[in-house]
Amino acid sequence: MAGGQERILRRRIRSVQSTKKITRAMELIAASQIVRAQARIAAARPYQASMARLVLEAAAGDPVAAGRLLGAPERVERVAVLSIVADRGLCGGYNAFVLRATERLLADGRAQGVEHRLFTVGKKAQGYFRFRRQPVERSFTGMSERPNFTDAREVAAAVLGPFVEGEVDQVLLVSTRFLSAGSQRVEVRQLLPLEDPRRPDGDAAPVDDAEAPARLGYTEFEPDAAVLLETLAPRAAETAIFGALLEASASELTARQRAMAAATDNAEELIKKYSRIMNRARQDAITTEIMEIVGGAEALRAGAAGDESGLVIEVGS
Amino acid sequence: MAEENEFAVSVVTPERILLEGAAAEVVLRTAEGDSTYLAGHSDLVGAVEPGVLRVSGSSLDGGELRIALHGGFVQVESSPPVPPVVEGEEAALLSRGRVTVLAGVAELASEIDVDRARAALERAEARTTGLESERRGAAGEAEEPAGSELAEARAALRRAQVRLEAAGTADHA
Repeated sequence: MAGGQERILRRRIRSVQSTKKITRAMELIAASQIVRAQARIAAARPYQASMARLVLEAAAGDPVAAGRLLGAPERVERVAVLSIVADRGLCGGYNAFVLRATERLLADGRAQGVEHRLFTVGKKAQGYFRFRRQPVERSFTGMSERPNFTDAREVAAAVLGPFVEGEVDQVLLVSTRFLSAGSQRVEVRQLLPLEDPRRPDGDAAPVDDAEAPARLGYTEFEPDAAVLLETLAPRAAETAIFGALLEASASELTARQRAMAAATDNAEELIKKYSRIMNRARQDAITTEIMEIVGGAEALRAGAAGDESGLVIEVGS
Repeated sequence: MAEENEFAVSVVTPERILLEGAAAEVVLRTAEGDSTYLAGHSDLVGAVEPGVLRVSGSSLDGGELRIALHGGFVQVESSPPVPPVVEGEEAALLSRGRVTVLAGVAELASEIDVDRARAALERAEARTTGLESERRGAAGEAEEPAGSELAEARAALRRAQVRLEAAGTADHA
């Protein structure tokens, strides 16, 4: 009977051990990919910076045209929302945080009579919103771990189209910012109209502040600034989407690495715990066995010889 | 190394910096035709049409570099800010101006797979002519909706042409 318990425990330890191997492997894979994902974020920076400079120039060239395309929208009645999560789970709260923030945004919108059109990236968003019967206009999958610019362009075309056509007043983005390897944060950001680079207090102004104002007003535009800005704005927003996809993928991998490291630790703990219980069970079984042998032998000897002298029984190992 | 008439040039795509260095001349296509930028050009911001971007400079292999550019933007700065860490040669280059070309998609001529581009060209040609005749057969002179199948086919055709032109084996222009 006691042997049965031991066997069950041994089987469970083996199963936890193989789970641990899997989580360890996933942890290592995620860790190795984080480095690459971070390099890709860094590689995308020069383009983003140059794009911001162009927008700044063009906006200064035609402040009137800049009105609709930059800064806060005049009215917010119809809004397109892009929510970026992962295709896969096993990454802790990564998906849930973004999805919950999206849900909150939509609920707030409903309360204020704002009409939302939802776009998503990532398989996890598909399932989440289908279960909640929240209609999704378009969802994209298969790019969350390693997004390239072609993916970003495809997403951008769908999400930004309604703004360009004048069907929505604002385009919002819900995604995870990769602040550093140790810190990621879910953020709701406005994609279009673009963030106004002329406002000095804007937090994302990658333009060296000293140079900009001095040179404004001498720049030629081809075509003129208003037309240029019209084509530039969606491209700049597209760049922002690409950046967001890259940061989301790095965040996803970091979250996965962390979750899998925790799972590996847990598995180790479980193995230790089960081993202890198993060892005790085995020890108990051995003790019981010895007692049985002792008892049996004693009974035998007593019965056979009727000897009254003391017993000496050797117990083999 | 850099000559007196050379200035700083960079070609940047979202995924990497394609080219960064010195050039004496940059030629690219705008809506009004080919534009050439030399040292000391005045400040400019413009849209770039799909076409071949030519950069010539003494430090480039063979004196000239061709890049297939599938649309983008160009910024010319006559006196770009010189970061304090930059000195000597590089600072001198910057003092003669900087041309920054931004492109969503761009390929160095040396990286273009000519056979693939040619196959793509043939496919796109077949599709375009097919769709065009279909249209002529069906409706009249309705305005071409952007993003339609035909517009897409034409864009694909243009991309393949630009690639082949950049690779230097173009029989179509």
